[in-house]
This record gives sequence, C-alpha cells and structure tokens, in this order.
Amino acid sequence: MEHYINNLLFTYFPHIAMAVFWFGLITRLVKTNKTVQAQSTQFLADRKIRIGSNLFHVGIIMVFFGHFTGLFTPETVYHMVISTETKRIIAITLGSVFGTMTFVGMIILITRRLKDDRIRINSTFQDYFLLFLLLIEVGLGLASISTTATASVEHYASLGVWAQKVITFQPDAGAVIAGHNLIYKLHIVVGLFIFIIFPYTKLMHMLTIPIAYFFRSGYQLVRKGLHWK
Amino acid sequence: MVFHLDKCIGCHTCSIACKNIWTDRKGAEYMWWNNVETKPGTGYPNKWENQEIYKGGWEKNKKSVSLKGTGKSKGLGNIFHNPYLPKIDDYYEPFTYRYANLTNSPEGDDQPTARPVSQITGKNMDIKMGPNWDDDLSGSHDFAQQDINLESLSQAEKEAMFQLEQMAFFYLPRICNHCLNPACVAACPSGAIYKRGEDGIVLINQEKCRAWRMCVTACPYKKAYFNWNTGKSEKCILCYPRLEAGHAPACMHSCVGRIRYLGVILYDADKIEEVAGSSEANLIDRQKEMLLDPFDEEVIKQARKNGIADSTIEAAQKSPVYKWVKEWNMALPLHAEYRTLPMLFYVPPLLPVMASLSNQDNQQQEKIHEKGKQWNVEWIYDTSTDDLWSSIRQVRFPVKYLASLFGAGDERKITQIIEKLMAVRIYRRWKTVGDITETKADKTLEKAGLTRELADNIYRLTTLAPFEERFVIPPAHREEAVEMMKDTGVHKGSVGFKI
Repeated sequence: MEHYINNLLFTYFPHIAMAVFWFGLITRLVKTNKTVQAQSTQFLADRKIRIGSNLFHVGIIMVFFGHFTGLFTPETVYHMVISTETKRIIAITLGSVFGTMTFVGMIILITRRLKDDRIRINSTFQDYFLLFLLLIEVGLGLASISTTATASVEHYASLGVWAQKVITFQPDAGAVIAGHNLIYKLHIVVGLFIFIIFPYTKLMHMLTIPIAYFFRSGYQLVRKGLHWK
Repeated sequence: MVFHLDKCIGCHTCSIACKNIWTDRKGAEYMWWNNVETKPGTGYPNKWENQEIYKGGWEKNKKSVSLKGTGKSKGLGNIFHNPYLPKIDDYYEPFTYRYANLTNSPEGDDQPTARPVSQITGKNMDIKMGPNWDDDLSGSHDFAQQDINLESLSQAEKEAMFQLEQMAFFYLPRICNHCLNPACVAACPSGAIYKRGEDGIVLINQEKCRAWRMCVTACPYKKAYFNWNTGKSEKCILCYPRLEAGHAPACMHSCVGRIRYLGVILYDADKIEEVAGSSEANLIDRQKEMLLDPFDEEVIKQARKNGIADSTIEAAQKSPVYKWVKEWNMALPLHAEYRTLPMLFYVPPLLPVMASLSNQDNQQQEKIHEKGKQWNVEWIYDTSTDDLWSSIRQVRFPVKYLASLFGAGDERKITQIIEKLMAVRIYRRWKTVGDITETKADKTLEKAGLTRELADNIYRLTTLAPFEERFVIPPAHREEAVEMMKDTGVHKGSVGFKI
C-alpha cells in the first residue's frame, strides 16, 4: 500500500498535474485572455507594500529559477563545472537567502492585507487561499534545508534524478525518493497542487511579462487605417 | 479642443454629465475624467502638477525626449511597486450616504440622518477630501497656497494674492488632452493604449490592460485612472461613441457657459519627435507650427494622398479650434513643458487679471448705489477700464502665474492674448454701450494686432456661435474603421451587439 501511494504521488501525480496545468494554461490564454492578470492593491493602501512586494517577488522568482536549474540539470552536465557537493552548498545558500526573503515578504504582505480595512474587505477567497498555500509551500521548503544539509550527498542528488525521471516518463521515478523525509514529500505534493490550480488563479499574472515592450518604439502606438499610406 | 476660460462659471455640469455616463461604477467612483479645478489650487489629484512627486511626462534628452518616471528600464525597476503612483487618498476616498436611513428610521425624538459611508470599505467614514474640495478657494491655506505655479512668484506677490479683498481665482476644467506625444501610450508595457489614427483619440484597450499602472504615473495631467475593482486603467474616451454618431462629447454638449469648442486639426505627425524635444522657450511655437493650414493647396493634396476623406478636410477648414489656436493665436496648451504636445488649448481668463480695484475713477464711483458706498469702494470690480495698458501693469492676478500654467513660463504669450481679449471688449463696448470713442476702440484693436473684421469674428465665436459652429465634427467613416479591424465580409448578415 505504501508503495502504491508513493508511486501514485511521485510517479503519476506529477503527470496529472502537468496535464491539467498545460490544458488550463492554454485554454485560459486563448479563451479568457483579458482576465490573465493580478489585481494591484498598491493604489488603495501604499504602506509596507514596497518592501513586502519586492522581497516576495524577487525572492520567489529566484527560488523558481533555482528549482528549475537545480532539478533539471543532469548530473553529467553540471559535473563538468562543479561537484555535487559544491552544488549542494550553492543550493542551500541561495535557497536560504531567497527562501527567507520570500517568507518575510509574504508575512509582511499577509499582515498588511489583514490589517488594512480597504484591502481586507476587497480581498477574495482566492487571495487568502493562495497566500495560505504559498506560505505553507515556502515554509516547507525552508524546513527541508536542514535535512538537505545533514543527509548524504546522494540523498540530495536523487531529488534531481527524480525530477528528470518524471519529465522523461520513467516508471520508476517515484521509487527514487521513496525513502526521503516527509517534508520533501509534502513540499512536492503541495507544489504540484499549485501547478494544478495555477491556470485558474491570479498566479497566471506571471505570464504577462511585457517582453514585447522592450522591443517596441519608445513613442507612439497609432491604430492605422487600411487605406492610409 | 479649445476651452475658453473667460466663460467658465465653474458649475461642474460637464463633470456630472461625464460621471453619469461613464464613471458611475464600482472602482470608478473616484474617477472624474472631466473635472473642474479652482486656480490657484492644488487640483485633483492633489498637487498633480508637481512632477517631483509624480514623475509624469517627458524630459528632454540629447536626441529628443524620454519618459520621466516610467519607460523601459525605469518601469522595470519599479515593476513590483511603483513609488510614483498616486494613491486613492491623493484623489479622495469615494463615499455615498445611507439614504435609506432617512425613510426607514423608526419614529423618535431625533431627526434621522444619512451618514456617509465609504464606497471602498462600506464602513462609516468621515469625509476628509472630495474631488473639488478647494472649490472657490475654500481651504486656501491647504490648497490654493500650495499651488506649485505660485513658485515663480515673489513672496510679496503671493501675499498680495491672498489678501481677502484682493483674492481672485478662475476655473480650469480639465479632460484628457489627447496629446500628440502621449506619455501614457509610451509607458504602457502591455501596449494596451493607442491613439486612434482617424481622430486622434487616445484609448485604453480594456482587454489588453494588465494593471501595470504605468500610464497613471506617466500622464503628467493625471488623466489616466486605475480602476481598483477591475484592475484595469481607464481614461476619457472623448465620448467616441457619441462622436461617431455626430454628437459632441457629453461634457462639451452640456457646457452651460458654452466654453468648449471641438474641431479637426491637420498636423504633421513626422515632426512629433523633433518638436517634443525642442527647447522650453520654443515648445509652444513649434507645436503650433506643426498644425497645418487646411486651406493650403499643398496640405490638402498631401492629406488626400494620405487617405484622409474630403469631408474631414472640409471639417478642418471650418474648425473653430484652428481659428482660436492658429488664426487668432489666442489659445495655449496647458503646461506645454511636460512635452506631451497636448491638443486641448485654453483661452486664458481675462477677468481675474483685468478687473482692477479702482477708486480713482469718480465716474465709476458715482454709479455705485448708496448702500454700496458703505463698503470700501476699493473692493468694487471695475472691468470697464479704458486705459488698457496701465491696467495690464497693475493686474490683480499676476500674469506670471498664468504664464506658468499656459505659457511654459513666457509672460509675453499671456499678455498678447489678454490684450486681444481686452481689445475685443473695448471695441464691443464702443459698439453697444457707446461710452468709448470710435477712435479709441480702433486704436486698441490696432495695438492688439486685430482688425474690426477679426474682432467681429472673435466676438461671434465667443458669444453667439451656435452648436454647429462650436462643434465641427466630420462624419466618422465607420465603414473604414470596420475595415481596419476585420475583413468586412465577416460582418455580412450580422446585426446588433455581440458581447
């Protein structure tokens, strides 16, 4: 039974999560593109948001890229530059710094949201739910750092192996981390759950990065007529 | 667009017309796409003219201009929090009243009251600020005296302005300027804001807006507003659905003082970048140079070549705006130094400047009623001054102040127009009242650079012009607009709205 649950959560669930994620992402972008954004509360209450929002956003973006490169760079590739031991040190250092930034930022933003009448009253269930979920996820991530630091190097390296096995559709992916600490497992499950709900929430706002803006003329946009020269 | 400030009575009818049609919605309650400010005053949002706070508009750089507080690199640095964004408190917290209390309260000893409630939180609140809180110089210590345009004045001049018996003010109605070099368009990371090629209206595409709020910062006139409920920015749309149907915008149509004029102006769009970057002293002149003479054969030929409809060219020839701005040189843009090349021009107000407080003129004193004489006669307005030149020198209302609003600091620009306005008055006074001699009237006209014919035209457009002369709106050519978006075949057989 334990083997069954482990397999379900860490071999199959990632694929289910990804399927829902991509399906939702594409349909949302095509069907209701204009809703793809996050609200801004700065206009209603400007206190504490500069520090809170910057800490949180910079932190979580770095954490995201850290996870991405850390999990998906194959051993053979990163061994050309660094050893697994060095990689672990980098991961722990950067993870602690940016993870703490994210966590502190979130605490500031949550207290602000709860304390300020204007924002609290105009907040939705989704706002609170996402904050709660992300706080748990970041908390779990930070809690796992001590395990990562004390366990063996192979223990750490196998996390990357798991991720790579998942994205290459290997049936034994789950088995790789079967013996890992519960904190890792919770972190993964909550993380995958965030992927599932991602397309249906305001988290989609991260897809609005204005890349085209940086290639656009610095001046006007004029809607031209067909017959105009 | 031209607003004739001498005729504005500050009734806010324009604001209400606009509010009722466009911004009476949740999240937009605080927005006044059209608002009327008392000058001197800090306006709405509070201190909007102070670009040290809000960083709106453009600044000159080596090549031309760049955005002051937003744009590519500056905007990216503030992507998670924009320090230059005005807050709701810089406007005011929108409120309503619990009107139902007035009818639902049980019988009792006290008169039922309708308490004010916030439209953001729904809780009881104390009203601290409103969109026209400084109306008619009320609270002038907090508002009028904080006006940034007073900075150019000396301490003595400032003090003189706020002596109770000396106080003067005028109204400044404001809508979106639909600029030629709009900072909001350039600042929008999503590319949601655009200028319509056919009529120059600047619009925000609600489907593309992603709540970056950069337009709010970038617009130096603070005429782009953030809807805190929908998370989209909104601004004046110049009532384009009305324009397309041939009607004047609601604010203009409803204007009681008939101060507003609307018409087509042909301009040379290739010069925008260069003109926006010209030196501050030349900005207004260069902008006016860009506006083309619709009677010039060469201009007409080129306009036709560019696909502009004959009906539009014809409207440009009849444009009252062209007359005020180019032909008569009597209208100026507001704060040209923000370099957005605004297309709303103002005829500066004459009254607060010219109305002298004279008690030397015995003839005038005799006209005053016995009761009036109990008051200090120095308080009585005298607008009939027959010595134009001396009264310009002894103005009640510093021309320097008007120059910082409309002249980019150049007083000559204001006095030239005031001379013209006054000359027309003196000329009309000779015609209708007759207490001024004909030679004197002609002499004043000549000094102001006007002829009798011009003065008659100015008088007519100022006072008598009917609707069709104040608003010359060309047919919208919607058929072309439809072609811009889609193949017309798509619309075959389709009727009505599709939402």
